[in-house]
Amino acid sequence: MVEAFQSSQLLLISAALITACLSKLANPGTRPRTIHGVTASPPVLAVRDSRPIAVGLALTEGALGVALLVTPHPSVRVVTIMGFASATWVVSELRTHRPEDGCGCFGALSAGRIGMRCVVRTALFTGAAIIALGVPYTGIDVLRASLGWGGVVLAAEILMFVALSPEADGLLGRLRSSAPCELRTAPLSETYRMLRASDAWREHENLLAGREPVDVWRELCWRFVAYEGRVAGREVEIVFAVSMEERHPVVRGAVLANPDRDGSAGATVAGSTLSSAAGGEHDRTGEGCQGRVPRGSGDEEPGPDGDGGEGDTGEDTGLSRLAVAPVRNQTAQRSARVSERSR
Amino acid sequence: MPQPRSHSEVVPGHIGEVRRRRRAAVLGDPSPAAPIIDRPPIRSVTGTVVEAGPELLVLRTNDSDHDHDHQEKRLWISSDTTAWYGGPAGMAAVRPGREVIVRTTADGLGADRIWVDIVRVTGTIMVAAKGFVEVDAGRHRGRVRVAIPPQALSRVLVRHPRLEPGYLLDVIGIRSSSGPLALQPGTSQPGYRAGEGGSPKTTGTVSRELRGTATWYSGEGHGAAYPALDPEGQAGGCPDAPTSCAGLPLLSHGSDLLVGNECAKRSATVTVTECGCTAALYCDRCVECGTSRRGRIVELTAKSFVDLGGELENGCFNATVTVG
Repeated sequence: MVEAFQSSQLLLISAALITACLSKLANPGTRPRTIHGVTASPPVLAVRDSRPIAVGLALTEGALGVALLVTPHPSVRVVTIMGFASATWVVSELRTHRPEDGCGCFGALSAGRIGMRCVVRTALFTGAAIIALGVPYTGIDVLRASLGWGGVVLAAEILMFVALSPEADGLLGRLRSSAPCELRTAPLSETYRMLRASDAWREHENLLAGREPVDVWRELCWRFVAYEGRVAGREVEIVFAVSMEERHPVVRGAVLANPDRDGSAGATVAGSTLSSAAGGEHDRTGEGCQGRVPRGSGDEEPGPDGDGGEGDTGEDTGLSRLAVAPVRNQTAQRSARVSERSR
Repeated sequence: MPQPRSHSEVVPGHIGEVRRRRRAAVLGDPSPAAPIIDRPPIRSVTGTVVEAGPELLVLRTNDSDHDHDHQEKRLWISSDTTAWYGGPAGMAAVRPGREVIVRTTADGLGADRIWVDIVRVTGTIMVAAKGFVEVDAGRHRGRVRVAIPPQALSRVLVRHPRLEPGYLLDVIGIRSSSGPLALQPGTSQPGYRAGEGGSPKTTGTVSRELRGTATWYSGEGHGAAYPALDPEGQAGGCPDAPTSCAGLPLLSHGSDLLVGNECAKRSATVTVTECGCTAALYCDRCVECGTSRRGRIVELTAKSFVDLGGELENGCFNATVTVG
């Protein structure tokens, strides 16, 4: 039993070193060292924040982890103990002086505030490395014989270290939810890709006077793209709204008279067709987006003849006859489902 | 990938109106948010002093919301009128040629309080030397050299103990021929370096009612600098802007904010006219009336700040901002 406990420590620290190596390489935690041209990190953190040094550290950890698996040489065990002891000291110092910087133990995953859990975890790893010093086998030998008590002890220890790791909280949080659409950033290329794949784009594409938008802006969960267009010889504006949701994004389109060239002061010409296609899911406050709004006013029933906005005068401008027929397209149906879920 | 054209064809002041119309066409009009605080804003006046007598103040206004760009405005001065010029000052400080912001009396005919040549400088300290500091005030405001007179240094240092490159500065002072003079701290200096103000919220839900700190900046007319503008397209955000620790939803130039002063119980709708990338660096609190939540959620122009009942020399008020 005691021997199984000792042997399992070897596997534990080897797994920890290899995991730390892979995390650092996959999630580099380096940050810009200057802000507005001013050095932001003191020298001790500059070591951590340097990408080449971080990669070197990661490879050293990986090499030590592999060496523990393949050789029983005492020098490897001693270097491991020294490494963990040094890490305990560094993390403890960082917790005292700069806790908000994160320890970087597992790369960018360890960007959260350093708490006592981090220090205790590193100290326990040091203890495990000391216990593993006297194990006469290689890690692979232990792995081959790890069924039985050794396996149980190892599993229990891994669970304990996961519980002690603040990185696990962050990973679980990421799995549970993605960024709310109000905060989500996305490049314009993604917006254009979604727009051009949408039914709303296909409905209005032939009305566009050019492929170059006149305005692109953002309001909460929506990015708007406005184009100049032409309907029956009259200049109009065609506006698309692309939702910023990560999953099942919605695209809406509307045609409105160009107020600079038309006396109707921006009356909606054909936008009501697509808006009304959304029907009851008409989303005035972005409830269709992830993240329900506490001040929900989107429960209002939309008007029977479209969006009922001020621009929607309900008058037949003549151009509306050119509007596409109401379409309950897949995008709108998806939007309705998303909206219902968010309620 | 097509790039949107420049906004040069659109009058900047009308961007909000144009975008509201376009947004309403495609999504419908947003239902007006019910004001949380019912008292209306005060009407303040900004301008240059033309004449300042014992009973009458004549200003040449430069308020864009007046019918004419420049017109004279006459305000009565009473014994209750107070003035600020680097501190409490007499009416002698209100001299021709000086820029003033006047909070009017309830009837709009008199001057209640007059701030003379007041300026504010916020940003990251780039150079700190004897008698002055150079501050990076952000991409839109550039680099500013602020003189700190010896008599004001101790007052500034009390709340800005680290006048060192990399730390943040927020001072209030007066204009001078050689640039702004810092006379008092705007708020307490955060203990961290610029860009290390705390992790922003990236998951969960986002409320449309944001709570935190409202500050002011030396901008003209009505308007607000919002710390979270989308850097893509023509939304107005800076590509390298830091993320506010307040977890603010992304908006654009022209977006409307319903700003409420929790201390003065006044609210008004203010349009976003600038990127508040400097405000995003601050993860501090306002203690004007109770302790606000962390983070500057809006920077108002001096005029909008006064209209909402803010005292410029205090630097901030606890605010609620409703978006959408």
